[in-house]
Amino acid sequence: MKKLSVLILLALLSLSFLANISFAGNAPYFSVKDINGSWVDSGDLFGNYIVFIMFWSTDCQACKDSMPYLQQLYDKYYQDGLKMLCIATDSERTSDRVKPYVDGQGYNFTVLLDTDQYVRDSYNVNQEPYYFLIDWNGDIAFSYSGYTPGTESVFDNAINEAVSSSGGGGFFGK
Amino acid sequence: MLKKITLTGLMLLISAGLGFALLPPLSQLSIHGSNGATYRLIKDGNEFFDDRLELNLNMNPFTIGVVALIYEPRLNPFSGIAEYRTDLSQIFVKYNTKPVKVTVGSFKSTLGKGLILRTYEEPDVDIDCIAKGAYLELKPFKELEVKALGGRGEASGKGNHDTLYGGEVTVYPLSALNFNNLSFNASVSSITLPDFFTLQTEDVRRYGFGGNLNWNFITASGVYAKKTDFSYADDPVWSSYRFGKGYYLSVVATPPFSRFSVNFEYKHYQQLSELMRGQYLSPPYVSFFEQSLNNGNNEKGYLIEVNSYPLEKLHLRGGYAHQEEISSTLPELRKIDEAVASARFVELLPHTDMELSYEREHEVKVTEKDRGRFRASYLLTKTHSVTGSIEYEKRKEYLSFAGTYRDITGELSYSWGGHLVALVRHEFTNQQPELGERDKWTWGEITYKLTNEHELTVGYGQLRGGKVCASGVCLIELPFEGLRIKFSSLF
Repeated sequence: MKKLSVLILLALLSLSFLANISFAGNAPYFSVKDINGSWVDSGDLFGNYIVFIMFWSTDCQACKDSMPYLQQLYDKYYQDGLKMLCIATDSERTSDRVKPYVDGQGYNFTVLLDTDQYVRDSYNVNQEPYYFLIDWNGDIAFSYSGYTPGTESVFDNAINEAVSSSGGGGFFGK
Repeated sequence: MLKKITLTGLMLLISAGLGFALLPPLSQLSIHGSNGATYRLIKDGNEFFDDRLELNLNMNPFTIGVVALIYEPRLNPFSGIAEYRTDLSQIFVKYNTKPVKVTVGSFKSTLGKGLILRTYEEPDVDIDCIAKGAYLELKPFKELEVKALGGRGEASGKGNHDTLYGGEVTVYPLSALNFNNLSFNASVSSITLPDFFTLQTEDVRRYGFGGNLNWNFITASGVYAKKTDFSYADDPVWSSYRFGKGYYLSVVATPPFSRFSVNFEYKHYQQLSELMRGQYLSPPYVSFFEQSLNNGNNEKGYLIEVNSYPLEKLHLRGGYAHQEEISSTLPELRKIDEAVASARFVELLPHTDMELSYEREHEVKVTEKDRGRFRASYLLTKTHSVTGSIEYEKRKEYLSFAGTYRDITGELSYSWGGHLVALVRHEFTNQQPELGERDKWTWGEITYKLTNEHELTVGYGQLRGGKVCASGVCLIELPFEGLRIKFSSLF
């Protein structure tokens, strides 16, 4: 069983030599509810907007530290077609605390609930916070793990570059 | 050591993605994954290595994925035992479109907000309650959602094949009137736990119903669950029944034109979990510090929390939680009170971010803790910052090592350009240490981002350890002294 497992693993890994591997491939599709109970489908967003995604949870201090700055970036770029998605990976044990935290702290970007970590697993996120930028073509153009004060300027540069690229849209998308 | 380095290097080279142009049939194929490797060299000279590799092969709408674990060996942070392992802990195929989501293989799921069934993993506390089988989510109409699952698990230990079945139906009765903010759900689960060593079997059936309402500025949700638990053995012949029930309620209010939100949670769980073993239950905490958790058995309490931003640059949070004492039935639970309060000032002074917080945990006749923390960051330039924090805790212990103690933790970190973070932490306690133990711990760590996706962390010194909680399980992490190197990749 051990040898078979390793062989399967190597076979899957070796496909990397036949495929265009890049973390910058098509962003994985998802459809989950937001904190107000509405379904959000990535198919409606990817390819029409620039989408900045953060994976976070209510017990992640660094995640919460970055939120005021994500709000500032959203305020700065939403008219240029930026959508800010903060995907909370809290399980049902604490998911009821997500909405009061977000609303009570004054954040108005979109917050999604990923209680079974389905979306987190599809993006292979192995630590929080983790950030992704999806460009106008629906591809992952940027990814980044962790947050310390000043990291928001890295995000600003990445978003600015995506907004300035050809095929840009506006508040209503492409 | 050479073997470990070679193994890590091989994993990284393969995972770094040396791609070639595709052949047309494979043009829609993409591979994503992540890798996390940790090397430890402890004071006595022993070396440990563990690695977790996740790979997803995507060809929309299909995804094939694996999770591989390599322990050569891994130092279990809770038992201190060296563990060896090399296998694929998860294999799955997923089909994901708007109306249908199917997973065949390893899957995670939640029914009835965790009061009916939950299959999950929490690597931080070594929990693996993932099931292997099939899981379906269906949204045939906007008025209806269906979940169904069937599979096997090994939560109770390798060799014990637990059998799980379950389902949930959610309806939106006012959907035709374009009001999708009211829903009702019903869920059911059946778990069979055979124990091949004691030859006992436990059959657990749980069923429940609940609802959700989002109306104006109020959000409310609730779940009620009942359990029948039948245990039996053929040799010697015996059987017993246990019954359980529980309910959970949550209400959130965010009044319009206000700058605050208040949430209230209430729980009452009586013998909801499995008797013998297994952990396919994960009801809401209703606790700030996970002190009042008994895994769905004899828990009764409430929590109230307020979040507010009275000014653009001022963020406040306060809360109180209470768990009642239950001594009439086993397992007993003591009365617990918790309180939290924090104030964060974002750029109140130019280029600064400060936070002041207070926490209290009081488990009657067991422990009483009061904790204050101050944290401040200063932006030296747009991308360089320095952050300092200090935490003071006063502890009263009533059981073993009874007495009043004071713990102080200080931390200083420097961050440069999003590429480098250097950190130093020092902890001190005035509790007299046992023979061979410490009353001071110093830890230094540097994290360097080789690229945005590849990060190397090197740390050295002493870590105190302590309680680590996740998903209702709290374990004591052992102290660590030595060198620790972590490499994390996303690709």
